[in-house]
Amino acid sequence: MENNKSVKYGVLSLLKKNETDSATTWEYVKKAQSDLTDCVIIGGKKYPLLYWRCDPQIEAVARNAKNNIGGSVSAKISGMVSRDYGIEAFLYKELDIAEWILDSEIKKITAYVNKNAINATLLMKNGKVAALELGATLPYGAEEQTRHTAWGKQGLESTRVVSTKIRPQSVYMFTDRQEPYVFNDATKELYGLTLADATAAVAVFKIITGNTDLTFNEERDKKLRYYIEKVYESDKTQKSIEL
Amino acid sequence: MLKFKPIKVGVMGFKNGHVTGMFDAVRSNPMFEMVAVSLDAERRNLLEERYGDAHLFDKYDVFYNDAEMVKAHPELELCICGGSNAEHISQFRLCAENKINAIMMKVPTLDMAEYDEMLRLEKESGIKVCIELEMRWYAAVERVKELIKNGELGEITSINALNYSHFPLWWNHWMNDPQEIYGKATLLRKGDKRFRGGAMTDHPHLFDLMRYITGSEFESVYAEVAPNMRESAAVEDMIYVIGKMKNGVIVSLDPSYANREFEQSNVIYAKDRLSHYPKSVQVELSVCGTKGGIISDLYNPNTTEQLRFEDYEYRVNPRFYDISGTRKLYMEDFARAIRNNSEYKPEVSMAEHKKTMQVINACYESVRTGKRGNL
Repeated sequence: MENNKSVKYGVLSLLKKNETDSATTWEYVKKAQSDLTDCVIIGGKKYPLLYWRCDPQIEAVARNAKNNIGGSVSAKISGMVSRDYGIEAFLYKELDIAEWILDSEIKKITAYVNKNAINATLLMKNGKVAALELGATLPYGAEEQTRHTAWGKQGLESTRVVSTKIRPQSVYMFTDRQEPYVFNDATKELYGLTLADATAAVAVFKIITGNTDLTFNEERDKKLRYYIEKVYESDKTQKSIEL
Repeated sequence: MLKFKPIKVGVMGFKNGHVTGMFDAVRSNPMFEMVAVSLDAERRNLLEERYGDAHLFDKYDVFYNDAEMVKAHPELELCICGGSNAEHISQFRLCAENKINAIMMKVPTLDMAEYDEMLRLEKESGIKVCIELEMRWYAAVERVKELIKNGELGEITSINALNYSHFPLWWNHWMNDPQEIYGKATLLRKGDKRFRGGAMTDHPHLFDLMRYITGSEFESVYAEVAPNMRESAAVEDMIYVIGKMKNGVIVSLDPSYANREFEQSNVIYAKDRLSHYPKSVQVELSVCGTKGGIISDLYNPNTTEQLRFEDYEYRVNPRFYDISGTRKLYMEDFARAIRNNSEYKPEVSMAEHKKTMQVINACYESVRTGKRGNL
């Protein structure tokens, strides 16, 4: 009794529902423990999948950081992923999101690293600041629990509403154990996928229908790997790293 | 995308708040061609102001009368019947007489003679008809239904649900006019100055969901109306319903306008600034079974909180994937059925939905009599 439909199933479901064909043959590959992110193989070539850019809540923070909250000044990303996801992969993702939310490249990185935890501040080229509080300590397969918040001159936008600490679910079922079984089916066409897999399916769907610039993903991948090096360099040298 | 000859669409009304969502879905979708709209001058001004676009309707043939629009555009294949509830019957007649397929709002009519006429016209004309009932599009509803069907909870003993929203009376004035919302001015009960047509009429989803999830029909209902929160409301705004399904499940349903709104319209509305309560619409449901229970948020718990604008208004907004949109998919399914002239099985047929309308009337009767009503 769990969501066990695959990302591939979700992509095929989206193609069918939208009566669209993929322009190419494709394969989705979920990240291994040592990888930084999932990827899509198209024509034998691997492309990194920045699936979080299709997460509606993160997208709302990024969008409204530029709009309704009066122009952002800072962002904070605070959360945990499972141990098997890995701290470097978590960092890779959140560095991308920080730049996306604050609409700027990083100018200076200051970081502390301790095994499976990283705390960092990012000074952006536009003068805005992001704080990262990241840990990879949740048990295998646990749903990521991360809060993304942007503050602006006229307000804020955050992926967690007041007083909630973990992601709310749409259905909580209490039956044969103390804790509930939970479900969070996002849409009918992605019914049976976990929320994370549903988001990955949307990201793949956008790529194979030509709605994502793959060159952009490749360039981001290079830059994010470079940033990760600088995070570790900052910790090792105990200095801020100007980029 | 396969080549698809666009469906020619007309809009009758624009009074129902959901019509703008369908208007947006149609005009941005190559499967449709928006041809003409029919609306009154006041509504036109309000929408142009809301969209911040004085030329919003310039691309379409604009009429101030539904019949004139239909007469001038015999090529119309689909009409969105978006007038007040009282106007639906005349709009449906126009569609049937002119063989135009129709999208009906959630309350086609609460007058059962009118409803029977609609069913007769639907059958005689052969037009395809679907009802815009957004709660049927939510995956969490399917999840709850499946868990129950699979026996996870044992025997279901009770289901409780709420559907809260703001009351749009300040910008949709017709929704506070019992003639327009209920079809006629019927007092709630003896000695009460209020009329039928408020929150219970506007939130038929709860009654529909009970029938859908349980697979059963209502056996009896009892409704208790509270004093209104809003002094300006001519119809009920806070009402509580309990009842029993024919399969024995007891229910408690709360369709109240429990979320206070801004007493404003136009420019404020343009910012989607509807309610003081941070989340304008809530739909929650719990199930009690002999082996377990469910607590659920059917209206997308995947939200962001937002503090915005010059007065730091606090909002909690559901967030959805940007690739589809349930309304878009619902309308595309209907478009394909029209173009391919294929059999169309709406999620909720007009004939099925009549039972939901009957339950609402039974609840109003319960308010009038002060007693349980059997169906």
